[in-house]
Amino acid sequence: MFKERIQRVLNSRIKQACDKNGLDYTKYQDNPDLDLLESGMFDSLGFLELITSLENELNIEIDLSEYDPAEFILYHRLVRIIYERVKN
Amino acid sequence: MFVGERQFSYAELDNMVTQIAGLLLNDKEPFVGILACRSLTAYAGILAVLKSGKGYVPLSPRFPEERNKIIKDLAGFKTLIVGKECLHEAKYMLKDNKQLALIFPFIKKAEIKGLCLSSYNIYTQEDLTSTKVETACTGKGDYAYMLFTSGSTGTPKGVPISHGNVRSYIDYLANRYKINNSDKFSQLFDLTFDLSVHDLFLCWQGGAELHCIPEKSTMAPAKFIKDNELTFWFSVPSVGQFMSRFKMLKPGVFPNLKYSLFCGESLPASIADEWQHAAPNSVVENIYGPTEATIGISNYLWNPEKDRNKTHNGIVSIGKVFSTQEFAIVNEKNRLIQPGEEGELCLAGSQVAIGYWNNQSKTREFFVRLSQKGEEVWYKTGDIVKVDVEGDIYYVSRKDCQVKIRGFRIDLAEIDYIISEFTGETPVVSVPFPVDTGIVESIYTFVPATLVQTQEDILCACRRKLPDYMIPQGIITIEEFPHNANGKIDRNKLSSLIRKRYVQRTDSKSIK
Repeated sequence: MFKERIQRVLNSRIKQACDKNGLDYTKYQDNPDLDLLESGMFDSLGFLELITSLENELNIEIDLSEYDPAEFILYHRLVRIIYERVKN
Repeated sequence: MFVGERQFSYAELDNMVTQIAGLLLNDKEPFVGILACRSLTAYAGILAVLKSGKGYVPLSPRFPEERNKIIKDLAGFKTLIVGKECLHEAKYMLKDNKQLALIFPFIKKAEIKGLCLSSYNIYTQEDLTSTKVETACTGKGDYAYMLFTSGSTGTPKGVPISHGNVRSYIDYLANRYKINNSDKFSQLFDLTFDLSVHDLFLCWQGGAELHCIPEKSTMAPAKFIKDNELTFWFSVPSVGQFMSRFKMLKPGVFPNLKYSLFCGESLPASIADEWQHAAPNSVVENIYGPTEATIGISNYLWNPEKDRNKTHNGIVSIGKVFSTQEFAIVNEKNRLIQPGEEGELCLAGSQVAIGYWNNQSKTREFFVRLSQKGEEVWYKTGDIVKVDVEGDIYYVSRKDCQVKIRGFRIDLAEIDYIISEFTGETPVVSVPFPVDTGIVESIYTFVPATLVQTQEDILCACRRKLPDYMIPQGIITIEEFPHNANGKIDRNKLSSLIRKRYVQRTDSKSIK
């Protein structure tokens, strides 16, 4: 259940970013390999803000200290990392 | 040398350098362009250009095509070395310019699509046949590289740096740090940024390993530092700040680091302290220096015993000017200030450039003689500083509208100029926001409410002419610009307007 919640919140943030940057959300929807930076949705600062907003909305602390950005900027990896952390 | 998934011995690199240099021998211009990301092409290309006795001018695929072309025209080079990743940009450079010779050292002819090879001077991997090229004899005054910085009139300014300038810097640092072939250097800085010269040549001077940090990891490369057991770190403080925000600076996390150097923008004391705990065996140092004075010219050694550290407004002191160089602090009339007063930092010595490339008016404005200091030429940095009784210097503010974002130097007037030129309206005023302990995160630009162009139109115009780090985060229309007591547009009030606007929209969570 929590995994779906993570995805729901992340999807809503991605949609907002698409609207802000004039990107067509439907093109990125349901793409687990989506690169959140390369797609132009977020720059590095925007990505930080994304993580902060996920922490606030999900009421969790996201610890990315063991990961490389090349991993956690991918949609499915980010969802998995957050989920695994919370589960443990 | 570690680049991408591959590693190269310096003997292998030397062979590649010789092969590329062989193609440069007939070029009589003082400079050769390099259009590449941080890649094998870039590293081998830089060394080949220097081996052939010329200086290199880095272009970037991150720059708009028009800006690269302007830089090429200003520098006047006739040969461009191109990386695989920049094939598209290279085609643009050839538009209306059939004289430009392109060298693709690591691309085969068959891989080049959409270009009629016989119509241009194009050299590819197949043309790299030289096996022996004598290293050209270069003097102290010969140029090693030329970088272009943001200019207030919309045209970037070229800063030519000589071998003598770079040699002074590298020798000074190599004497201070004991570097050997067991050291592992980070290579994070883009080639258009002079701090990349430190990464490359200080590393090579010591025969150490160079580790090119993959583009996707550059945002917060903590795992890269750990996995590769780097011993020598050099970045802008904002990379440290990112790592801090990602909770990556845990105590003891970087035990292998011996030297951690920060440069390019203000170093918040909180980041220096956090980094010191993350890298307990490392020296943490704040380096300061404008491009015109070659990479860095002063340093402050962070003391792990916190209460003995020196800061101003939470920003670490820039320390003392290298003992091989000179500094003076002057008032608005170029007279030396009294002890304790604030003034503009001026620099002189073997690291200081001779002026701007083919730009006498800007050279006269910034490279001056100080009547109390004899015949020596001093570079006026525009940085307002103060000095404490022990001689440590503190950055206080800028004299003009220059800011730095992730270390990239931005003259806000250049953004204003580009937008005014596009819209035909004035005033246009860009302000940095937010600014957290001296670190600027982004830029917002105010335009008159009477404009007919939309925000998107204006941002598109900026994207055509400016590098990505200079594109405003937002365009804000304003009915009437606020003025201060001197009748000038009040930038502080404009900043508070952005703050109000941001707080209303974001529920105050996303911005400090």
